[in-house]
Amino acid sequence: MANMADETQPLNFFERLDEQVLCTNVDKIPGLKNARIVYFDGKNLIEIRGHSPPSLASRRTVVISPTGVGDRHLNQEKKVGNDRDGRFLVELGGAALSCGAAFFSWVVVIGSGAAAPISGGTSAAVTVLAWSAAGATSLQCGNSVYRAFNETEYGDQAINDYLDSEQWYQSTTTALDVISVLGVVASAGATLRVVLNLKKASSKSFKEILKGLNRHERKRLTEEIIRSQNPGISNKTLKALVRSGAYPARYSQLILTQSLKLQLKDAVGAALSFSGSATTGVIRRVYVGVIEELETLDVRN
Amino acid sequence: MFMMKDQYPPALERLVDEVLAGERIILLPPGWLSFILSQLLLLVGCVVLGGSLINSFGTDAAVTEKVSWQIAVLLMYLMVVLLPGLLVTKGLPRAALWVRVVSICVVLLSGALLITSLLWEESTLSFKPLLLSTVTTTSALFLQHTSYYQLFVGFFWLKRHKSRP
Repeated sequence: MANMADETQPLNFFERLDEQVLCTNVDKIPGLKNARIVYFDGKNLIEIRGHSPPSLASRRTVVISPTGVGDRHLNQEKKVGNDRDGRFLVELGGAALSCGAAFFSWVVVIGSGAAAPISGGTSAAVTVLAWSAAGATSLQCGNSVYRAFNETEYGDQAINDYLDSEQWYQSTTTALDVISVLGVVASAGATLRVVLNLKKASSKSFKEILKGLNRHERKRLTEEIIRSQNPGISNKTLKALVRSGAYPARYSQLILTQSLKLQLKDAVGAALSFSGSATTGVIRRVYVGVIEELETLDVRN
Repeated sequence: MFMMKDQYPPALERLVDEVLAGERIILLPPGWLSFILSQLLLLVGCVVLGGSLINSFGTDAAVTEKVSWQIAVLLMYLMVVLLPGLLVTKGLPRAALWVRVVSICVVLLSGALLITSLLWEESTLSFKPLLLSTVTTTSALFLQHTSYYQLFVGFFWLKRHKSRP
C-alpha cells in the first residue's frame, strides 16, 4: 500500500477522482489490466469499474480509500507480491539446476557419440536413451525457465499455480526426470564399456586411451580452418583473427514489488487533482491497495 | 556456411581416423562447448520470447490457454532445434544448417519486436524480456559461426562418412 494524502471529506475526494484517467493508468500496470477498481469511504463501497472476463486481473481488486474512515483492516499495510518474491528466486534456482542438468546430459550424449565403438555406432537402445535424456532435460530446462518467467512482472503467476495443482503436470515432470536419469546412466555406461574394452585389447594406459585434444592440437585445428577459408593468408593476419572476439552484456534482476507500488501510486496520483489542497493547505492521505481473490465460497443458511 | 567435405583440415581427418581405428577415444570432440551452449541459449531465448508474446497478446486469455501455448512453444523447440541438434551428433551437417536458419529467424523476430516495443508507445510488448531474448539468440547464432562449432559438425560428419563400408 502507498500512503498518499489525508482527506477529511471523503466524498469530496471521490469527486476529484478522474475515473477515466485512473482506469487508463491502472490498465498500464502489468497484472492489473481490466482489474476491478473500487472506492471505499468507510461507509459506502463505490465501484469505479466492475469485474472483467475471467483472467488473472479479474481476481484482483484495486481499493482506494481515505485513511481513518472506518475499517481498520484497510490501515494494515499489505505488500503486494511479497509472498511471491521468494517464489521467483526458488524458480530461478530450479531453472539453474535444470539447465545445468541439461548441459551435463548433452555432454554425455556427445561423449557417447564420439566414443563410439570401432564398428561405427552405438547400439540403438543406447542411442534412443541418450537422445531421450537430452530431450527430457532440455524440456525440463525450458519448463523451469518458463516458470521463472511467470513469476516476474512480465509473466502470469496464475499459470504456475494452475500447473502445481494439476496431477498430469506432476506426473509428466516425474517421468521426464526418470527418462533423464536412465538416459544419462545408459550413455555413460556405454562409454565406460568402450573404454574398458579398448583397455583390454591394447597395452595402453587409461591416460593414453582417454587423451583428448590438447591446447596445441586445438590451436592447430583452428588455424587450419582459417587458412582453408582464407587461402594465402599471412601468419600475422591469422594471429590477429585468432585474437579478436566479442560477448554480450549481463542484465540484473528487477525489484518487482517496489516497481508495482510505484506504478500504482503514479496511476492514482495522475487521476487526482491536488489544486484544492495546495491552496487550502489540507494534508491529503489516501490508502491504495490491491486485493487478490483466492477462492469464492457459496455460503448457504 | 559449413565447409564442404574436401575442405576439412587434415588434422581433423587424422583425428577421426585414429578414433575409428581404435587408437584413440575422444570423449569430448572439439567444439562441444560451443554446440551445447548454442542449443541451450537458443532454448532460453525461445522460451522468453514465447512467454513475452503469450502474455502480451493473450492478456485476457484463460490460464489453460496460456499453458497450452507455452507447451506448444516447447514442443516446437523440440522439433525444430533439439532434434536437428541430435542429428548433428549422428553426422548430418544439414541439420546444423537447419538449426542456423531457425536461429536467424528467431533473432530477426525478437529483434523486430524489440524495435517495435521501443518505437510504438501504445504497444503491449515488454522491452526487457525481448531484449533478453534477442541477446541470447544472437549469442547462440554467434556461437554457430565460430570455427569450433564447425569443427564439431565436421568431426561427426567425417566419423560417419569414414565408418561406412
